[in-house]
Amino acid sequence: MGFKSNSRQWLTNESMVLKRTERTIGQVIKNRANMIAPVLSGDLVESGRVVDDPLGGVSVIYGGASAPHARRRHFENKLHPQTLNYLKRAGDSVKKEGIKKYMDMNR
Amino acid sequence: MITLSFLKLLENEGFGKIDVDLFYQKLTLDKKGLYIADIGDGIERHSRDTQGYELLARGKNDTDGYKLLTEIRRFLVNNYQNICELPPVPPITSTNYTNVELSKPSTITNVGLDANNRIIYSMTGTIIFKEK
Repeated sequence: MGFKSNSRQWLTNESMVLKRTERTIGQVIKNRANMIAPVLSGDLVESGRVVDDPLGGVSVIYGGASAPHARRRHFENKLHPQTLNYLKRAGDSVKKEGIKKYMDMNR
Repeated sequence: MITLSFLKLLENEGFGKIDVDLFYQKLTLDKKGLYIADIGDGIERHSRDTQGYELLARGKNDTDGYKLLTEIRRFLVNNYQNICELPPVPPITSTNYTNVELSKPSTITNVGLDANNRIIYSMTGTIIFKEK
């Protein structure tokens, strides 16, 4: 009679769930930011992407060569002030919902 | 393409028309209507696959999008056990999905105001399916 621990398998599974959850949350934030970001030429919303962070986790990034104004538009917009902090607001809306919902989705 | 098939189901149930007020992965389109996007990677679950989706609604006014998502949520909650197949979307795809299981959708979240002062609402869910 003995007991065999499966904790290593459990840890592997949970790590995979967490990794998938991070990516899901990144995509949801990007989707939502796309909907509420200011649109003039469309370059800003087209520049949105989810990238794996080498230090762990994922990052949602706007800007680059095609949209050098992304950072400025996040903090300054006289024409459409309601779109200020579009990325932060998208992130906050996901934060409000909590991580459990997204972890369940990825189990 | 499972989410496109799911959108077709919503079209068949009278929630709108694809490319008129139901949009597949076209979040950057600044039009009123319902948008669907895949979220997360597809996960293999025994013989079936799982795909997460997000429905985003942009209405004519502050409550329009919320009402639409509420109606869809009510439809899905009442019928998620009865929907076992999702239709093909010709001519884009002829794939038929069977052994479908729709999860109970999430509650509706207020995402915020867009550039035209319209409130965006969101709802998420998952689809478990088998590709035929």
